[in-house]
This record gives sequence, C-alpha cells and structure tokens, in this order.
Amino acid sequence: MRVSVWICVLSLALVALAVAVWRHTGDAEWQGWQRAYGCDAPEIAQDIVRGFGAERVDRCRSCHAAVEDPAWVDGTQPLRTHPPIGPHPLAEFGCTICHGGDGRALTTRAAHGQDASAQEPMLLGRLLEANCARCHDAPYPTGADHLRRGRERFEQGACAGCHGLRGLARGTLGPALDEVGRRRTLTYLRESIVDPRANDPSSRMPAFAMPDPDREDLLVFLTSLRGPGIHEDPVTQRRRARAWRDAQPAEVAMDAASGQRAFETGRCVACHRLGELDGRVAPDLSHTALQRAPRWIAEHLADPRAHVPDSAMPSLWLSASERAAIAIYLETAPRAELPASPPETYGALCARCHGPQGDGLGLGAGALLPRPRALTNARFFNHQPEERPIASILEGVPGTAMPPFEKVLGRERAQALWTWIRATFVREARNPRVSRLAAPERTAPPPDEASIARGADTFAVRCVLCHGRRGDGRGPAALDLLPRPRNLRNISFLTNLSDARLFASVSWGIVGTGMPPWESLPVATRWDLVDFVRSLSRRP
Amino acid sequence: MAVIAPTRVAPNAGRRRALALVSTGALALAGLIFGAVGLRFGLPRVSWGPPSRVLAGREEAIGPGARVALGEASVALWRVEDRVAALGLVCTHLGCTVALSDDGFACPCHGSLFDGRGRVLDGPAPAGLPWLRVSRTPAGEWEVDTRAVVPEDTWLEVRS
Amino acid sequence: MSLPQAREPEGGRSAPWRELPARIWASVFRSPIVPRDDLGRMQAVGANFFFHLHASRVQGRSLRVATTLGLGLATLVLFALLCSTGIMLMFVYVPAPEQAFGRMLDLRGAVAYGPFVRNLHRWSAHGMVVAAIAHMARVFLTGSHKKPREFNWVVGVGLLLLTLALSFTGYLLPWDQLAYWAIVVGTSMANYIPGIGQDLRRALLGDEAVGPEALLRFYVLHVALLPVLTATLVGLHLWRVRRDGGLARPRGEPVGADVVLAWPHALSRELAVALGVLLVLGATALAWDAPLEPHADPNHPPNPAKSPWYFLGLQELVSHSAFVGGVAVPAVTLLLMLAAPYLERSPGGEGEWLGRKRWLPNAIFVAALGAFAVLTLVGSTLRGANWAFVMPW
Repeated sequence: MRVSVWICVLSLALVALAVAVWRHTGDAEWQGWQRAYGCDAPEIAQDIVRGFGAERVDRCRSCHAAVEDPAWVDGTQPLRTHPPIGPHPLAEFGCTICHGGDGRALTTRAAHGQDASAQEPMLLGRLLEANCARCHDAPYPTGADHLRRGRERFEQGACAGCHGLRGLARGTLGPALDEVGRRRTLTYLRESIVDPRANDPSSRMPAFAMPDPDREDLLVFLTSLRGPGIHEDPVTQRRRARAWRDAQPAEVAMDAASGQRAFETGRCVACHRLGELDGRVAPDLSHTALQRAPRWIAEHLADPRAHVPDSAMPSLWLSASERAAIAIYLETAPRAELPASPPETYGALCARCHGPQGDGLGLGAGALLPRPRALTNARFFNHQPEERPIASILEGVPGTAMPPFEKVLGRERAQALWTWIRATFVREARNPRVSRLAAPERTAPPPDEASIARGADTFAVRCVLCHGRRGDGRGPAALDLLPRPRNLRNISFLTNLSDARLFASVSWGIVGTGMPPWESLPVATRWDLVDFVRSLSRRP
Repeated sequence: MAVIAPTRVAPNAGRRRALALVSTGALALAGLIFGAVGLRFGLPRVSWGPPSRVLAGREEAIGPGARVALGEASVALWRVEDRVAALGLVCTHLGCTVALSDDGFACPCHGSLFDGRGRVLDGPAPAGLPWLRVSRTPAGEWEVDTRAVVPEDTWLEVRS
Repeated sequence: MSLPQAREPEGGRSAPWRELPARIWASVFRSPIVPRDDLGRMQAVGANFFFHLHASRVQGRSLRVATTLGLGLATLVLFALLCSTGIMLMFVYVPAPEQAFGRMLDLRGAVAYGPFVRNLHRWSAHGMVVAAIAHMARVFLTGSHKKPREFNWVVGVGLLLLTLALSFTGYLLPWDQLAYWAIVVGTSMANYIPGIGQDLRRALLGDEAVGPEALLRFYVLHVALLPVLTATLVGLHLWRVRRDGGLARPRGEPVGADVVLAWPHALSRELAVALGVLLVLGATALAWDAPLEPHADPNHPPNPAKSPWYFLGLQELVSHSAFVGGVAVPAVTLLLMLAAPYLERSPGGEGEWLGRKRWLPNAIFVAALGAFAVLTLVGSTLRGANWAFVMPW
C-alpha cells in the first residue's frame, strides 16, 4: 500500500518535472526579441561565413533582428540598426569576425563571450577596431583611427627596442608580442603598462608614463595582435617571415647626419633625454660627449651589458657604421650651458637619477641596476673615505650607470657640488670618534684552486641568500633590500676594487646597506671568500 | 514444493485501484511529454545549406523584361515593366535545377520543358514550377523566400 | 490461455473482419495485461520478454529498503538513462576535432532542449560511477559476495571497470580544455605500467599524443564497444543473481519462508526506485549546467591540469610517486578486489550489514574506501596551480 502511495507521488512529481522541462526551452530570450521586433513566427537566424579562415556560424540576428532595418536607428539594444559598415555586408561577413564573442550561442551571456567556454571576448566601442587587423594591414582604413593611433604610439615609443613583433620590432629583452592580443586579457595588458611589476615582480620594463587616451589606443593595437591575419595566406606568411629574419641593418655613412637619422629611427628619446626631447626613463645623453669615448658608446650600443651587466637597455638592431655614426652625432650634439650654483647643477645633472630629494628615487632610478645611490644615506657616506664620493663624481663608477663628470664640471665645481650635497642631503656629520679600520695586508697564501673551492663552499652557505647562487645579486632576499645586493659578476665594477677593499667589505660589512660584517669567520676563510669572488669576475 | 498464496481480496482495494489509475495516468502523461521533448530535440531548427531567404540584388539592377537566374539558390527573378515575380528553379519531377531557355525553362535531367510562367509544356514533370514570394528588404533589395509558395501570377509592384 | 473463439453470426456467413481486432490483440498478448490471479502474475514476469530475467517470486527481505538500498537498480536505471540520452546526443555530435566543439556549442543553443539532454547525460554519468561504487560497498559490507556468489562479484568488478572506462572515454568528447587535458593526464599515467604501458597508451590514443585519432577511438569505444560489453555483463550479472539463489541472506534462515510474488511487490518497488532516480537526475539536469570550457588548445595546459574526479586520487598519489600511484596502487587494489571473495574462506556474515564475524574485511574495505575518498578530496579541493597545496576558499 505504501509503495502504491510512493509511486503515485513520484509519478505526479515526474509529471511536474516533465512540464518544467518542456517549458524550460531556453529559447525565451531570442524568441522574445523577435516578437518584439514584430516577427510572429520566430526562428533562428543564421549566417554561415566561409572564406575567412575557419567556417563561422553567426546566430546573432536571432536577437539582433533589427540590425539591417533602417527604421530602428533609435532603438535600444538588441533591436537597433547597425551603423553603416560600408563594404562589409552582414550576409557575407557575419558579426563575430569583427565583434568576437560566440556566434553559435543563443543566450546573451554565452553569445557575448562572458561565460566559461568563451573563446574570444566580444569587443565593443573603440576596442572593436582591434579586429580590423584581421584582414587589414597598416595603414589601416578610415574608421580604424584608434588602431592607427595605437600603432603609431607603439612605433614612437621604445617598445620595438625590447619587444619582438614580426614586421615591426626586433627586441629580445621582453616577451614577443606577436600573439599578445590572443594570449592576454585587456586587464592584464593595461595593468602591465601602468605598472609592469603588477603581474611579474621581476620585470625590468620601465613604467612609461603616457596620457590615458594614448594608452587606450595602444591597448587597441595590442589587442589586434593575434598572430598572422586571415589576409595572409601561408605562402605570403613564409615569405615575409623569411625576409624579416634574414634582413640585415643597413650600413650608413659615418657622419653626424646619418647618426641623427639612426638616433631618431631607433627612438632613443623614448627612454633617454637629449636636448628638448625626454623619455623620462633612462639617463640624460646631453653631456655624453664629455663623458664617454666614441668607442665606448659604440660598444655600449652593440651590447649594453658589456659595460653595465644589469642594464635594462636593449641591444638595438644597428649596423656597425650606424653605431659609430650615433656616437659621432652625440659628440656633436649642442649642449646647454651648465648653471653655476651647486643646487642648480645638481638639478641639471644629478636629480634625474639621484632624485630631487637626493633619495635615489629619480626618474631613471626604477630602470637602473645598480640603483642610483641614495644621497640621504648618511650612515653609508660617513663610513666611506671622504675622497671616494668625489672620485665617483669625477671618474664615474665603472659597471654602473654613473658616468664620469670630470670633463663636464672640473675638479673645483665637483668639489663644491659634493660639499653642497653633503650639507643638503647627507647632513649628518662624521662621528670623529669612530675610527675606520684599515684594510689589512693579505696574510693568506696567494689564491689557488683550493682556496677558491673553499670560498665557494662558504659562499654557498653564507652569501647566496642575498647575492644569489650565481653571485649575480639575484638571491631570494634581493628584492627586499635597498640598495640591492651587489652583482659580484660585474667585471667592470669589481676590477675597480682592490682585494683589500673586498676583504674590508666582507669583514666589516658596508654600513648603510644590507651587507653585514662577517668578523665571526676566521681570517683565512674571509680571504678564501675574496678569492672566490675574484674568480667570479675574471675576464673570460 | 512452495505453496503459492491463494488470491486474496486485498483491503483498501478501491483506494489502491484509484492510486494505480492516477499513477498510470501520470506516468503516461509524463511519458508523452518527455516523448514530445525528444521529438522537438530531433527536429532541426537550423539549416547548413544555403539560406531559405535569398537576397536577389538591388531594385535597379534588374531591368524591365529581364529574367535573372540565381543558380545557387535555385530561384529566378522575372521583371515585367513595373512588376516583379520569382519562380523556383527546382524541377518538380525529381529535383534537378532547371535552366533558362529562350522563352521558358528546361530541365537537363529528364527533359521537362516549362513555359515562361512555369507551366509544364513537355516531359515527365508532374506540376509547374512554383511561384515564390518576393518582398523588399528595408535596405532596398529584393528578397525571395524559397519556402513561401504563392499562387501563380503573384507579382510585387515596383516602386518607381 | 485459449484464443477467443470466432463467433458464428446468426443466420449467415461469418464476418471475419469483425474479429480482426481481437485476433490481432490475442496474437500479441497471450495473457491479460493486468493479471487477475497469482498464476497470471507469475506469467506476467516469467513469460514476458522484457521481464523474464526477473524472478517471478522473490524473498520478502529482498524488498526491504535496508537490504540493498536499491543501489544496484539505481545503477541500472542510470545506465538506461545514459543509453537513451546518449543516443539522442549522437544525432548532434561529430567526433572530429574541427567539429566536436562547435557541435557542443550548437547543442547549447540551436538544438531544442539540447542543454537539458546534455546535462542529464553528464550528471547521470557521474551518478552511475557513484552508484556503482556505493552498490559495491553495500555488497561487500553485507558479505553478499561470499560463496557461492564469488563469480558474480568478479563480474561486478568488471562492470565497475567498464563504468569507469565509459566515463573516461566520454570525458574526451566535448574536446574542450577540461576534456583534452584530463585525458592527457589520465592516459599518461598508463605510461608507468611496466612493459606494456607505452604500447597500451599508443593503442588507446591511436597516436603518440591525444589528437584526432584518440577522439575517434574514444568515440567508438564510448558509443559501441563499451556499452555492448556493459549490457552483456549486466545480463550475466542479473542472471547470476537468480542462479545463485537470489540475494544473499543470513545462514539459518529457512529457505522458502517469506516468499512473495514479484508482480506486484518487487516490480512496484523497483518502479519507485526508478522514478526516484529519474526525478533526482532530471531536477539536477534542469538546475545545473554541465561545464564547458574553451576549445581544446594543446599549447596551453591549464594550471593545474586535473584528471576526472574518479582518477584524482590516483593523480594525487602519482604526484608523490609515479610508480606507486600509476601502477602499484591500482594493480594491488584491482587484485584485492577480484580476490576478495576467494580470500574469505570462513563462512558466516552473509546477508547482514557489518556482521561481527567479518569485522576485519569490513574494516579493510571501509579504510580503503575512506582513503580513496580522502585522496580524491585532496586532489580536487586542496591542489591548485603547479599541484601546490592551496586552501579551498
């Protein structure tokens, strides 16, 4: 009896379920819109688009029924006339080839690319122009102004130096951008331009400041980068890729005019400063003539990391003669008069890196490694010999971005500048009672394989946390310290230091930085460490 | 040998019968509804062939006295002075696409001949070619609905 | 049963066409559709093509809910549901990589009731795996696999493997990111089988990697070979229940007492269970959509890439040791499962839940099931990107 009741109840429940299933067709949305449009017998409107890559099936007109009816210009979406699109009839092109989204879906969420199965997002407004690049090459037709301006922004900026993009950019320092529109979301791209370390804390990309409209246009261009377009048949693709790969930079006359042309084509002022133009990210080149020999400049252009191992400057695609020409151009570039007073001198020469407040947070500081010294670090300066900062100003600091200013300022002005800096930023006076320990003579035997091996063992235990396993300053704790741990493979920098100075740094630390004193280690161990560190910076 | 219990008159026989009736009815109804769901599932709602409503060009493109065959969609558009009509080009015999002849249509498959109005002149075709509804899209093009058969001699006035 | 006699009309020749309906009916139905006496009720089961595998008389205790929880029947009902929804889906789906995903999208929009049928199929599949495992647990914990039912237990283990195989082969068919990478992970575990592992994987995939060949093979396995094998084994399984004397019952209970007719007692309860299963699955299919991720992309593995849930426990083990998780544990588990009824030689404990005499085998089984559940839970909720531990919230 009970079973009969159960069966009765379950059967009735099944009827209810059947009715619920029958009514839940999921068609209410598109049928409703067609009825609102005035169509009494709604049916799925389908455009099959062939001839533009893979076959596309677009059912957008099932809801957007008024898309080709001029009477609905003032309608509200989805019943609204499409703005005129010239030579792109809907029957031939469909909708998704420009707008993206999922053409086969018949619900708003799925069709507009908002649910989990979305292959590509639906693009509206100015972002829509990104899809023009599917078929159109630069220069883009009218109507794709944001795309065009975005591409111009890319070309005028320094993007081509670091990033790779077939046909446009040959950089290798940053990720290749050929398919970035497909791989990354809009939010990711925007974040990465505003703050490059938002998504990758180890990124060396500078934070280029640009007005919002410029950045949005650039984003349209980046979104358009989806790999080879539909308009490029495989044969053309191959040919173009080959040509791009095999091209060589042209040789030019080695004079200032060619140098200027190369300088402008390479968009150096997108980062650097020269005269009136300023990229606000990299050092000022206005006085390079007095700071670097032409050969140094040419070597630096060929490989920035030859002189400054941690430089974020890309290796540019230049021929040897172009590099020499640029050096000549920089030599002959007109220089502004330097102001006389130390504060103005500081503002003109030093503040760009060391910061207007002397805190090491100037315009260029973020991209430089080693970072510019914080002049407010009194403890540091008060434990260094007084002549060292002046030597640094006059001779520069090899292996870093600090150039020599001897020819620019002369000894007297340099001295006056340092006195001013000391008074203004360092401020604290030396404590006369603190005596500086003299760097001792070497007591250990001369360096050999054994001492280097012992030093390596000690290094692996004591030093890798900051200096990294390779001694390149990229240890796990490196990002937490300012100034950063020294890159001990910086040949230019280390050959400038004596063994005694190294021993002193190891033994008594560097006050004002994160380098602690290692007096607890036996003297012999410390000399082994010195030998090991030396071995890291031996010229190959 | 097991003893089979003799048939008993169960208590509540009436109520049990009522329950059985309701259950059977409900199950049958649910079965019908689910069956209908299954049938609707099987009925196609989209076609992968050419669209049933065919755009046949702008009004100005077809002059008076012209007959234009749109081969892919198997329709012919016929303009006479200030009126336009459409005929289907699917042979009523076995479905081949008929071709335009000098003053009518001819089927290449089994030799059916039709006059200009689609009436059968000769051959195995059992009926004349269908006249199809022509309409004007809001954008100003002719549109032929290949599934809307209209009586013979149905014309659409051409706007001057 | 006698055929209705042809009536002689009064005063004249017979009119055969008047008898036609009765004759047609009698040729199809040899006994009344609604039986009126016990003999009729027995014949309604025993002499019926669709029912004759069913016993016409059953023990009363078999009908009690606590005896079996209706789990075996639920599994069978789910299988039937899967076959019917599966055949419906076969009218829409095409097993080629260029078309499969597009067809899934069409199912979602262009086909009437497409989402409902797909959801029903997917949730029934998960339900069948759960029900099969639960049924197996019930059988073991009531000692119903012991002599003389050992072989039926082995057939049941075979059915469990077939169920998992059906679920696994079906998992690939949507050809989205979830499907593709789950099968990449799942089939790569086969590599660790010594000796035949690599060949087994290549035979399964029809290629070195998951691609068009794998899709076709999995489709054929999923819609043809495996269902036929399953149906055959199900038939054998049910037949063996009858041959083994019905459901296992405790020793000492007299045979023959408390026997009732299958019609209506057993069949009505079975109908109730079937309706219950249909209701639950139908409501689930109406309320929750089966997942669909973007088109399969061999260049972009999701992080983490997880196998279907019933393999997540193995994947968790494999993350610690490939051989242990991929080969040793499955092999040992399978061997123990197959040998279980033969290992228990002492009589007693059949037909009672968690009998004291069988405390050791029951404990081992519960522990193994618990370990499976815990490992599956860890793999599904506590493992995130790079298979590192994450909190589930």
